[in-house]
Amino acid sequence: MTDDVGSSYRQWWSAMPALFAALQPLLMPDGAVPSPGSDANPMLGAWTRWATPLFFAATGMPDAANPMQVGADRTFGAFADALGVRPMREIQEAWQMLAKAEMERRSAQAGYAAMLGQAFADGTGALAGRLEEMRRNGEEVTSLLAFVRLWTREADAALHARMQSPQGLDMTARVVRASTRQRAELHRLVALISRNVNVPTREEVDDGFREIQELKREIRRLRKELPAAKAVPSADAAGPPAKAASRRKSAVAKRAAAGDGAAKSRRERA
Amino acid sequence: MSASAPRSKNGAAVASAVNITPASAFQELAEIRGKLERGARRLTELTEEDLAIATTSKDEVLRRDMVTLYRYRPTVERESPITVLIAYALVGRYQMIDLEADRSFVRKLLAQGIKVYMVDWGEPRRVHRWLTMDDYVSGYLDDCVEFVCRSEGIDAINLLGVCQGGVLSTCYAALYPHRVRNLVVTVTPIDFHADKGKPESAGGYMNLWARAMTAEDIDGLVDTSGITPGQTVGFSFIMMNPLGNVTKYTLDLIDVLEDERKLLNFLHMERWIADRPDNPGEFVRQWFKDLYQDNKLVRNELLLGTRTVDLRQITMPVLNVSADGDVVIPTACSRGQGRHFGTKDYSELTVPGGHIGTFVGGKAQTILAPAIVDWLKKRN
Repeated sequence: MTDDVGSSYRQWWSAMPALFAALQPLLMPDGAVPSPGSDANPMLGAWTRWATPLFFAATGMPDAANPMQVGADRTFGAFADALGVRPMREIQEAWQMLAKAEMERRSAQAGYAAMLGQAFADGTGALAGRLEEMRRNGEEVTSLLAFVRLWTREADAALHARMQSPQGLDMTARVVRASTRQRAELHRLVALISRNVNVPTREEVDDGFREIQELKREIRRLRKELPAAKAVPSADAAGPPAKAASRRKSAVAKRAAAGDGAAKSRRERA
Repeated sequence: MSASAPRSKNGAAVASAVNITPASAFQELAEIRGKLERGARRLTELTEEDLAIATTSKDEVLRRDMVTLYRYRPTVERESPITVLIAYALVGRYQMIDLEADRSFVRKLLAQGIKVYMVDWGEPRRVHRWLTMDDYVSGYLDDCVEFVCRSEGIDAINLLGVCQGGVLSTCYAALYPHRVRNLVVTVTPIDFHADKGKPESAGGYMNLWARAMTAEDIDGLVDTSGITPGQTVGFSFIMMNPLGNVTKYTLDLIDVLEDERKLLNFLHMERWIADRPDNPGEFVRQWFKDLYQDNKLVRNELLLGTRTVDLRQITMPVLNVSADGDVVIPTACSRGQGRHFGTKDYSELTVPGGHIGTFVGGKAQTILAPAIVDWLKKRN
């Protein structure tokens, strides 16, 4: 962890010249481009000269062995939290939880697959039993398709038996639970990221939808309480029923003929 | 028992019961290849018109959010005074009951002069994730019923619900009995726990799955998905027949490739299956927790908004249609539910076939629509 932080700090520091260049119009109105340690801006130069050893004094040593590095991590970590960058830590934790849930899901799926494998083995055993029965009755399977069908029938029965057994149902429930948990962890992670970049979360969007639905219910209730309102043609009605009715009679023969015609043409082709 | 013993025994069984020689296998493979080539050529010739489903003419007469109410155009000169409003399930599209011209439940009703309205629940989006069962029953469905009553100049309608739509219709009939003249529910779960301890109900995978979850599991699923993707629902249906759903694109497809009628049936069905709308999260939460887990409908404890659904308020005639091979809704959950309703006029009809076969199956097609029309005519 500390190694990662140290590495990140180095990246950050090496990006400083580009940052200074970007800030140049603000820092150096005369157009000079300062760099870390430069005296072009006396204050900036003094600061970078002071700060550089803090980060790179222990170059060549493991970061964890650099107390200055650890101290900086603690100090600036808290500073970052104070500035609202804390979700980055929560996001990292959410990733870990998601990975854990994903492993549990895979484990449950593996158990389910093992159960299916056992069911297929049962099916193959049942097929052998069926063939034995056929042999005794003097029956034969004489085609590949018939053989595959026979196997399918036996395997399907075995699958049903396994899946509908208490163990099978329990295994299915485990897969559902693990998958649900994995999805919940994924949602948590996405929500954290969304909040971090000011994008509405799923929960916030759903809350909006819930309010819309509650308002619709309220409108429905009010509409039913006002019988007069029912008499007013609804804006979203597709058309007055009378219109449909007037079309009806003239269209009867035509539509019936068209429908029958389509059916007839299919039959003819068959 | 040694590991090798059964293997050698099975090996002997395979050897003596399987009579496939290399020569016959190669010949069969060559035939399959030929079928695939011809089938692939045929597939490229199909047009959008060939693949169109739900082609019966209709007019959009009302729209609320993503929900649309259609009025089918009559196909006979003289319409009967009977008006039926059909509410399909949310997990699939209403096109199922008008799948093909010659396998259309809707056309069969129209041919009898019935005025048919259909609720298309549409495709909920993220903004609809807070829609509850109450929003569907006392909101969209009630708006549709009000519109039909006003348009047709009637006080009450004949409400026909399919599967989930049957549950919504049942709730509506209990909350607004004055608005429902007759209630028809088809392949509809009423007692969600009636399959418990009944081995013949095996196949009700959704029932078992839902009860294996805790309430917290359902909450977690809904909270993290918000709006339940249509693919999730589709996957749960695949799990009811896992290998069958694999072989239908291989073995079964080979069989139908050279039969124009069967190929089109297959493709029409696939088009319908692929069109799975997403489901609002809050609806899904209540559906699984209150119904599949807590079975509140038959306990008269289901709360929609501020009102409790009391099935004893359903005093209008009820026709309950179930399918004898339904693996989506175990027949135990749909059949024999008359004791829960307040009506004295309760009828049942069982049709051959599965959940979807009720509306598109060859045998069921000849039974269902005529039986419903006959039942309605006697009560209108």
